[in-house]
Amino acid sequence: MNLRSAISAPLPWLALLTSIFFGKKPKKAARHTLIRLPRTLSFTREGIGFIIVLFLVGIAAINTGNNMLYLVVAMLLSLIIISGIMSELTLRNITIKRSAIYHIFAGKQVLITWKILSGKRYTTSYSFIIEELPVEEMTSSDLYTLKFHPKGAFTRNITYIFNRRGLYSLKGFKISTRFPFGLFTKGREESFKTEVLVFPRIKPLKRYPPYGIITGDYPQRKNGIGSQPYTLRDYNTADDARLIHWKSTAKSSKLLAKEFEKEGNKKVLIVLQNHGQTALNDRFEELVEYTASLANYLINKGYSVGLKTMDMEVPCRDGKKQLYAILRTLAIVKYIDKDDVTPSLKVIEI
Amino acid sequence: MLIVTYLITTLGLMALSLIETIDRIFIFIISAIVASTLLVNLRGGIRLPRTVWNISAIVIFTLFLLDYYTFSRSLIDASARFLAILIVLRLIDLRSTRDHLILYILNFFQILAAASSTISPIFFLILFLYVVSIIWGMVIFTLKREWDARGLSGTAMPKNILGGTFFIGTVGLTTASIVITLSIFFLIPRMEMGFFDRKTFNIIKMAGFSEEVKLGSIGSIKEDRTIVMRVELADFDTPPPSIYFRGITLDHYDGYRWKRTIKDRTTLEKDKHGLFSIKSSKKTGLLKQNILLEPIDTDVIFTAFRGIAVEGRFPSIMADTAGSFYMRTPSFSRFGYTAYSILPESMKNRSYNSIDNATFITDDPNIILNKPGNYDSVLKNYLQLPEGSDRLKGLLQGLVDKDKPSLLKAKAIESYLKKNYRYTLNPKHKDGIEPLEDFLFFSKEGYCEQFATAMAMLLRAAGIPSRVVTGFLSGEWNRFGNYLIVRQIDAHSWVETYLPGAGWVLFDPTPQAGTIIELQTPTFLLYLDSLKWKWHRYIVNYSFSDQIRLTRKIHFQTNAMFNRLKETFRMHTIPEFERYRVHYMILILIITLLTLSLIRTLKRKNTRRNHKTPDFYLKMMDMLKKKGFVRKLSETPFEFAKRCSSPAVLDITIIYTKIRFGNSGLTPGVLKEVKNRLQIVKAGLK
Repeated sequence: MNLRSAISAPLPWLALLTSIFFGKKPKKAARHTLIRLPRTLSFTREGIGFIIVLFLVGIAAINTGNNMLYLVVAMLLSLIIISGIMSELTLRNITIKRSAIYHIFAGKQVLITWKILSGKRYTTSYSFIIEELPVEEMTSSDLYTLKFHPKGAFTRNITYIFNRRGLYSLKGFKISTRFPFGLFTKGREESFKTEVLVFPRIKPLKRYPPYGIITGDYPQRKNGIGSQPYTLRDYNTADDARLIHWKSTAKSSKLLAKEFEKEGNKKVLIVLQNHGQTALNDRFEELVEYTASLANYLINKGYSVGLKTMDMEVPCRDGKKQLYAILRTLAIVKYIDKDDVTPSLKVIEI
Repeated sequence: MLIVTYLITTLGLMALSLIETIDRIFIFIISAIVASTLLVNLRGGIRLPRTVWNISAIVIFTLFLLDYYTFSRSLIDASARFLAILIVLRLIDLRSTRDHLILYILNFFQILAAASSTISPIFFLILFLYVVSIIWGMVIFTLKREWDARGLSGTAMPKNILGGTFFIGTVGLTTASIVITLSIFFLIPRMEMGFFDRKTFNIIKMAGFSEEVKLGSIGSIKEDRTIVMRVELADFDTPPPSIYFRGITLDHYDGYRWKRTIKDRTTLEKDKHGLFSIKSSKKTGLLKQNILLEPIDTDVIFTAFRGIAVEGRFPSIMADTAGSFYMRTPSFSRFGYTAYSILPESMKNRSYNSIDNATFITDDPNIILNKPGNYDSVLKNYLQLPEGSDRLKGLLQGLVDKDKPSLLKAKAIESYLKKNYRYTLNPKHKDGIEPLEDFLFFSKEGYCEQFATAMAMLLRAAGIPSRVVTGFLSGEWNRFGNYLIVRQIDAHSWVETYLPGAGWVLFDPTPQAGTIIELQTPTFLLYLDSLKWKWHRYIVNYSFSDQIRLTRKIHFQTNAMFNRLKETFRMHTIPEFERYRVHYMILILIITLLTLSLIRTLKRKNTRRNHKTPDFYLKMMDMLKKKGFVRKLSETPFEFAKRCSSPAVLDITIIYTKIRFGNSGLTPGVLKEVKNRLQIVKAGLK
């Protein structure tokens, strides 16, 4: 027996009472959760008509005392009860699982796989709709199922669009049905919490490189493996004899070994100024998107790219992993209000 | 969907036919058109232009108004006809799923119209079938509409959705719906507001129950088998002895007709118990009757013997000093009521019923309607004789001894008439002679009216106040419902005589041939009538008082059940048990907990089994296990299949892994293949 819901149900009320006891005004959202019913119910157009007819026949039955009309009223009421039971049988014991979601970009369609499972032993579910619980700036398609056998399972790919970058909290699903008579739409929520990180949009850069960057390997100004001599040092026995710089050895009368300058990718550090006036928030968002696009471009070209914002830093590295590290940072980077400052972007070649 | 729609339409038409005022020809024409539209729809249907629709709608509405204001003047009749024509029009042009829904609604209103104007048990049958059809239709409609709106666009809804299981489900739904309907019907609180709302035009015309009755008028109805009322006698489950259902009493005879000249009707007020009662000293030992009266053209409320209280949906009723009850107007519909009567001594050993708390004070006719006064002046009215009764007195002289008490005189007259006169429904009549004289001195044959009149006149001639009472005598006992079916054929007249100290005493001078009517109604018809009776008793006339009775009954029965349980428990409180009570309690607790945990474990095991491993693989494993092939814990499914060295086992294992780990579905084709392979495995093991 799952007692979680039974235990958790009175908690919001206790919280409210406690806050009232201590003289605090409860939050609006908290008040909403208090009257959260396990099922949602709304009337369809036919349902409204049905209720009106029921009401009128009921009045006629009372007015005339005609038991035949009472019988009709009873029949109509029984249809409501049957409708409630059938819709409940359809809705219950359906579990939905969302597949793990990676690399989602703002504004782009993404397919997420739903796995729908029936935990019912005998009853078949008919004509129900599953949809994602509404989340701001997110749209998703829904899934209609005409018949779902007991113990059945199936998967479907559902289209999602996240309109902006950032961290989204997907709460779960709403399963609703008009079955069996189409008089009411009954729904229930199936909790399945997932956090989704949406990367900023990446746009193709049309005029690039604006900084005159040439591709290829560049000296790194430190010792390592390379072709150009970097410095000399005392030879030790572990060194290869071929590293001995004979001319210098002759001059200094001691064995000296050559060291070479390390050669590797060119490094670029993108500095994003995420402080600025509130009015320039849109400009900042554009800069974030440009930063993502630039990082994507440079990494694709083989650069080591780093990112620095006012509160976060990603050290320079190359490769796809680095791109996603930068995108992750850009996905959550916040715009901080600060007067007399303009959000800006700088690219520093190291 | 078309079939369901036509089924519903047929039911709508059947409901229409229950409205008495709707012409049968109209129903026939509409039915014929409906049948022809079915042929049209089976061939693809007709698409009517919108203009035709609009014009038709205006014409039909005009006809409806014309019908209502000019012809029928009844909203129900006019609406029912209007709906029938609309249904036909809609059937001609069945385009979309929505059209079907509109037809369901129109037919619902037809049923509603029938509900408000019929009390026929067939209505329940129609309602039941309508519920079956409407549930079926609405479910299909909802699925189809949802599919069209959200399913795969451009594709038809899969037909296998509506298979046998679906039908069985619908039947289950309907059964549940009917059970719930009846439960709600009995539970909805009744407001006692309506009264005789369903008028019928088939009123039974009956002579003999008005304030003026021509001698011989009952004879005309004595051959009519039309049912007048059905009477359930409380506590009687076997045929009762003769019961006289009293109607009206007549005091004045002019030689040709009987009249009630004493105008003393008084309106009775409903007491706090909902009873219209006349004063009586009797509180217990009363005979309770549940009477279902057919619509007849009399305002008399019939009660067995001397009724003292009536209960029912009457706004008000009246009574006279003779103890007869009357409605304000004759009932134009079948209705039920309960009557309480003083039980004659002869029946007292059969049934006792009490209406405690009722306000019965005395049985004295002086104050029967709380009208104190000299009753002797009233009694004078019951000594009236028509002119020229000398011959009657002459007959009396040879019949009774003057000095004997009134009771003996009355018995002698009763006996004389019974023995010396013949009962016949077609007495010979001699022209120019008064009917009574003709009966007594010439034809010497007649039926109850003549016998009663003769006795009353002879008693009056002897100075004993007497009156003629018209009503019904017994009826046919229906063993299926344990009630009496009273027909017109049971109409009867008898005499009531006032005996000082005893009050009004009943005498019936009619010979046995006229009081015992043997009807051989076929068993099947009796059974049908019992259904009709139950329908009216428990559905049509179900009232607030019935609800109270039902609640009390449930209350008492529940109490009785709990008491029985308590008794049973008490029986087991033996000393041994008392001593080890705590031990027993702990034992019971442990057993309960163990059972619960076992159920839970089994459930969990079952769930795991159901969710992860397909049944067919488990079945194969079971089959192999019986022959000693058991998969080791360290073995993968494929290693095990390889060890079994059977291609069929390997095939099943491949399918199993695809389903279990590859997220593949078990399609009908795959299932077929699995079944084949399982057969091979089974055959191989043999």
